[in-house]
Amino acid sequence: MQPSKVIGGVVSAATLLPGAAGAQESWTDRLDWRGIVDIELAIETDDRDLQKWDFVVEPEITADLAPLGDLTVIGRVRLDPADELEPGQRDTSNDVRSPASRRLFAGDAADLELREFFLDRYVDDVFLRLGKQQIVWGEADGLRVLDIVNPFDFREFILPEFEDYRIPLWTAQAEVPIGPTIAQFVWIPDRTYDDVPEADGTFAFTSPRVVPRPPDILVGGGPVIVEAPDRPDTVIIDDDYGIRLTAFVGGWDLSANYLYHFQDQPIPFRHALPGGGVRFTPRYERTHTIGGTFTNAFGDFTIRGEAAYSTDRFFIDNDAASADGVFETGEFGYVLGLDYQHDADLLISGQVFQSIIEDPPLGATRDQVDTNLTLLVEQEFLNDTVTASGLLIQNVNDGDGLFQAAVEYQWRSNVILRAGADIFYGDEDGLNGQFDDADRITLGVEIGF
Amino acid sequence: MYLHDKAHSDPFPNTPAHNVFWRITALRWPIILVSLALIAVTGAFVPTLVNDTTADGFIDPDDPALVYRDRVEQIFGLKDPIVTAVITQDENGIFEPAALELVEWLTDRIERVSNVDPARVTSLATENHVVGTFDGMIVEEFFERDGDHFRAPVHTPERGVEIRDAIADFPLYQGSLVARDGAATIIISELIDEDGAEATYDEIMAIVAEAPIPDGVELHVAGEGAVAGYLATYIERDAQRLNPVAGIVITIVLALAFFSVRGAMLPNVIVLGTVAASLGLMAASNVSFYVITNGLIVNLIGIAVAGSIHIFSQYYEEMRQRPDADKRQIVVRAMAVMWRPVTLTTVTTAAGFLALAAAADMPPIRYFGLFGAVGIVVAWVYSMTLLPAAMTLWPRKRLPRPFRETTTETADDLSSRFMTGFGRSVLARPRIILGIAGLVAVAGMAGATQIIANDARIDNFQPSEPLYQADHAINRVMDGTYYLDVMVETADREDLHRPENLRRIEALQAFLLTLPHVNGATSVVDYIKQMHRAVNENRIEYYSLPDDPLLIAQLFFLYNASGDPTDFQEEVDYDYQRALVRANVDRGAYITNSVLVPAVERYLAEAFNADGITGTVTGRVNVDYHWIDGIAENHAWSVALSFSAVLLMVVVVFRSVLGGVIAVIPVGMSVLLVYAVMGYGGVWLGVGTSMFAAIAIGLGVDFAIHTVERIRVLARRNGLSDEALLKLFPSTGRALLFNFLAVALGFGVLVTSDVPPLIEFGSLVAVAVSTAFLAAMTVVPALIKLVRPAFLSPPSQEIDMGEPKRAPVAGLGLAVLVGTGLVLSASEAPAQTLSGLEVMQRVEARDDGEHVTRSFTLELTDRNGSTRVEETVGFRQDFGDERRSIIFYTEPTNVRGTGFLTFDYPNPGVDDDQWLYLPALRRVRRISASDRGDYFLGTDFTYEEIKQEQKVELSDYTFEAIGTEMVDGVETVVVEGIPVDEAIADELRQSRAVWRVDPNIWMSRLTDYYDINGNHVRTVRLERVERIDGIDTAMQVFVENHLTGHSTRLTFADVDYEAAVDAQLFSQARLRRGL
Repeated sequence: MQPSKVIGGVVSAATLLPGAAGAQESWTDRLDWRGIVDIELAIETDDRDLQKWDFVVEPEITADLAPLGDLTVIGRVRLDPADELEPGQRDTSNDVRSPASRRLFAGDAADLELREFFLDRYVDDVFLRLGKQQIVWGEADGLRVLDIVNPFDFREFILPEFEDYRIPLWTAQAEVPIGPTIAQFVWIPDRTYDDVPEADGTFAFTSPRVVPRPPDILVGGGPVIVEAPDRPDTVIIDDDYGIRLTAFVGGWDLSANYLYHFQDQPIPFRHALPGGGVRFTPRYERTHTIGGTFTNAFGDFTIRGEAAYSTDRFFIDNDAASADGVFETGEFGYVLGLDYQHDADLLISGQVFQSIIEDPPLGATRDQVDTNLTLLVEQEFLNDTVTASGLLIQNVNDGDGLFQAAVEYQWRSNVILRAGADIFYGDEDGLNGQFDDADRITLGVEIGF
Repeated sequence: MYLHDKAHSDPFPNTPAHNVFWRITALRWPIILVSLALIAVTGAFVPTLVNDTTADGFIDPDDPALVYRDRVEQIFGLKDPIVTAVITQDENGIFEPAALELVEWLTDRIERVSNVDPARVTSLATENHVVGTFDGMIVEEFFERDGDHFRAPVHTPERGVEIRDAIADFPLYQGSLVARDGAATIIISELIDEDGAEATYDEIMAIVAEAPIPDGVELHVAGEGAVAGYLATYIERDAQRLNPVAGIVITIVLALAFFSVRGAMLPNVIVLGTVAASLGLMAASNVSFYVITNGLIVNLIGIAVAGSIHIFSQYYEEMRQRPDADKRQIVVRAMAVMWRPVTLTTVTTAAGFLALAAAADMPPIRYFGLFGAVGIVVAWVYSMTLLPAAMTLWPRKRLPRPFRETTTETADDLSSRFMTGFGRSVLARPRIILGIAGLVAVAGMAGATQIIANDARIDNFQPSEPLYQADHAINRVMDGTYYLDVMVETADREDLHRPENLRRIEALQAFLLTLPHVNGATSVVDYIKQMHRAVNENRIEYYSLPDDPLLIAQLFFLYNASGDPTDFQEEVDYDYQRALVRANVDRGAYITNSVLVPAVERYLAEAFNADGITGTVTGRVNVDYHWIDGIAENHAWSVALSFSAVLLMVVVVFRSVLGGVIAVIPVGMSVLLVYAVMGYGGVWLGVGTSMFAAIAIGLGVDFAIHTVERIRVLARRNGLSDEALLKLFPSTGRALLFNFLAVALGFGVLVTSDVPPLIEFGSLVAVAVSTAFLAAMTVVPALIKLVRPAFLSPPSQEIDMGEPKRAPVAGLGLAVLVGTGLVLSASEAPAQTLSGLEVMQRVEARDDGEHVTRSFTLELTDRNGSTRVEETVGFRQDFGDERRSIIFYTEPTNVRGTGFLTFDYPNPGVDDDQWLYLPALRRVRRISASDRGDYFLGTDFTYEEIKQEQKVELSDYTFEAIGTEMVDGVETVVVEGIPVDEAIADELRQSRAVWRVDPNIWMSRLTDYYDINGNHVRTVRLERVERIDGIDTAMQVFVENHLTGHSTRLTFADVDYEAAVDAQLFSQARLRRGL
């Protein structure tokens, strides 16, 4: 226990309160720093190869810059000598990330990233958070219907904690209380999109759901050319904008959401070359997403749900007759979840996720209705020092899935030991099944300082 | 029932077993939902089960006999045939024009059946006659329209005569194609895909049904292809009838046992789950549904309910003893008593099945044992989880009649009275009973020596079945439809043109004909002889092997000139290097095969094999011989294994060799008695019957275990007297009676099967189980009465290995008593001016500020002294009657940012609303209002205590002031609170709380909490109090959990009641933003 930090925490809380006089503290009291060292080892079960050996340091500084506001800075230094997830030097010539959100690479194995950097400030009742940050919408665990404000880094597919694979963006957000609701306005000038591993990475995508496979009849021995994606680059016009209204009404937590944004994956438009061969010209496309969430608790059960409709979504169409190898459709997605909490120690949570599109064409690589089911069982033991969990994500259409089992032990106040297994299974054309060879067991230790 | 009464009058036991089942019944909804989901998931696989009724299914796919046979079949293109026989009573035999026309009609239709290879249909309508001409020989079909040899028009009496003469001239066809007396002929059709035999058999039967059959002619369809084909339908039909019957019989037994819908229905759910799991796993493991798998389902139906019967019996016994007790407690009590014997019997029964699996060579038996064991374990799991969970939910009704208290000492239902009377007779004549047992044992041993190992595929059918009759009819008139083959291999191509090799084959054929049940033998030699004769003006003396290999080659050349070169493909390969010699056997039983195969093997080794030529026995007869050959040995092994496993287990459980021996005597007797039945009754030891013993041992020992266990309990309570032994009969004896009825009738249902091996298997197990039950109820008590084994003597000191250790429980109980004693002695202090409720009203009314800001530190220490420290900042504010609070974790770094928001509503009936912010998710998560008795985020404080902050919800308890007590130098008022009802008790996880309230500050300085079972669980001590802003404030509180050894110290700092708290702070937005 470090008393100075306690006081710091209390003080920074007190600064939020009307009438609190934080300005009298010295600079050392107004600055608080801490961090986490996380070492994680992942070994592939197929060939017992080392998949990753992450040494991660995440320092965090919070500073009371009254009267300006509170500043939070979180960085990340990562060294992975295994170098299997993103082998070799990263080609940053056409990075999916905007220049202001890029990582710095030091050799093959190390990278540095400014994860978050934001200033919190109140102007009367209005809360402002300005800077690089994560914004999370939706009520679903592990499934994305409304959690689409920030793009994702798929270095380890969806295996890490959400916090770690969501890419924070330079954003301005304001939360304005309006009667019983809070309106959150979001402006994201940071044009960064999903970061997908290159072809030699362990978790490089191969599923035809996301990677087009040009028909032989078009290729015909000719070249397959994939051009660099055409990125949006017009200031203001190509920025993302969103608004969310939240309210707590009669025991129900409700939200309504709207986001005007670019789909985070480039659309691989296909063009047949005269004389054989195919050229792909990927392009990011605009989408309107409108949706809402609800949640409430009844006895030991909590129900959660979210639904959204997105316009102008594009999916791959591998049919040779397709004009450009993709088809455009609206997409309706929803998640319904039910949590059962027993004795405060056992959580059983199931979710149904469906994405529904218009009738897909012949060469579509997904069905009209795509269904995923998840089941999470989490049990805490020994006064919550040990947590054992199992998460199953099952795609009904492809029959593939992912099973994650983990045990965490809080050995000391600031030391957590972890062991886990991530097992992919099923059709290798499925989003999960494509990583059937990447099954792994993980061992980790997280030390707070 | 009111928990307060229970704590004092009939304390709910605190054994690990009770605790486990208490937890299980707490999780009833998840258990029921998960169980139903499991049943649905496993059941979903069942329809994908694939039938395998082929004979090859019985033999290990890697068995050399099968591998070699498959090779031979590949070389000579042989497949399992369907044989259609035309048998006539006409004096001219099948050479009558109408019969011949029928043969042609049938051949034509059968050739068009989709799964029949038209090139491999053999009949008089497809075969050729070989006859000499002046310039060589001609090969001509018997039904040739415009022939050189057959000149009469087809379907005329004259052509009939021509054909008859031709057959008489061609020994090869005699007995194999046409009956030697001319009364029958067969159409052999080989299948393209043997897996499609079922449909092909049906199609051929349809053709037969519409065939224009002349008077006096009969048609029969048989052969291995037909057997495999029809068996699939036969088994399926049998299963569809048997399994519902078994289910109904069991339900009737249950209804009779319990007079209760619950007692009849819930075990059926267990049965459903068990069968779904076993068959579902079979399907998922790609294991086929074999002939005997039918028996498995019926087995499981009987076995799966056995545990339920004992549990229900105990449940109603408990209910009778505690008519007012809470249903869940009764269920838990019943489970705590019964889990042990039920588990034990599960283990022994599973051991029996596993022994069967371990000893079996035949895949169907191996899987029968394996998935039987799986089913038994699944039944146990459901009986231990789903059953108690469902029992707590089922509406409580009055006690069923058989269990109601009566005015007489014994229960008055018929079965109990019967069992008591029965018990008296047993205990009166122990020596006579042991004498009878000895006689049974001797008879059994003698009978065992008479048992014959035998099996025949055709005996899978009832004698009334057309297929059975066809098999017998065809084998009576023809040489035989069972084939014993010898593959002859020579060193070089065309070695089979060499006369010395052919002579060996000729001699081999002659030898084969000397063997019993071998009525014919064919090989390429017959063709050569026929051709030799044909080219020598059909003179009979030339029906012999030529001496010149060149001549032999020329004969084949000549044949090919007018016949089809593929005509010999079933007898010799294209290179004339390998040949097949086929003996027709008219009986497909192991008892025949076991004579033939070794005799042929011996002949080949001694008289046939030489340099450059070898013969190997193969064919269906050889394969059948090999898979049944090990049956007696397998049986012996399975009996030895299961017997040893069961004995070992019982010895370990009773910690007495003598106890173990006594417990296995009934099963030993049951097996011996069955041997006697088999030996003297002429029942073969076959595929079905060989399985009975291991299963009977596993099942039968259950009765003895329940009996010995019960006697042990009774003896320890009352000594080993006749009176004690007699008590065995109406209680355990009654449950065993119904257990026995369920199992015996379950197996007994197999007697109504149409599959004779299942009938035999079912009858034998039923006999064995009945014997085991009878012996357990007679021989065991009689033996115990006479031997008085030491392990049953009342112990000088209570050592109960089956029950959980008493010491800690007793210690806890003592602590409770001492605690209560202290409280009670304190009550002798001067009388209180305030009632318990009035004291607690003042506690509740104590001022704790409308809002507060503070930080607090949680020190969590486990039983090893390892401590975690967590720092938090908290705010609380009242909004009218509603109280809101928010807590932010600031340390350690790993949990920093975690926040917890609560809206606490004044109406106790309305759940709190709670939200948790987890930094790793970056999301506020709505969480269900935890039960108030749940522990708060890993601490030893309950949510209720964190929320109440040293206060108490008055509507939760009835209070009683029970005296005063000095705590930390302060005289406190001792108030005992009992939850007002069971629901509140469940919610708070308390049966009682005792507060020592300091009347100066109206806070409890020392509080003890007792869990639902009456155990002293926690003590909360107020360590430091300060007056801040005019409000008495608990600054340090320590709580220790006596069960886990874990403790939590909560220390407040920076408490401020005056600084205003922003109302917006109590929002999800702020929870997310953090401090």
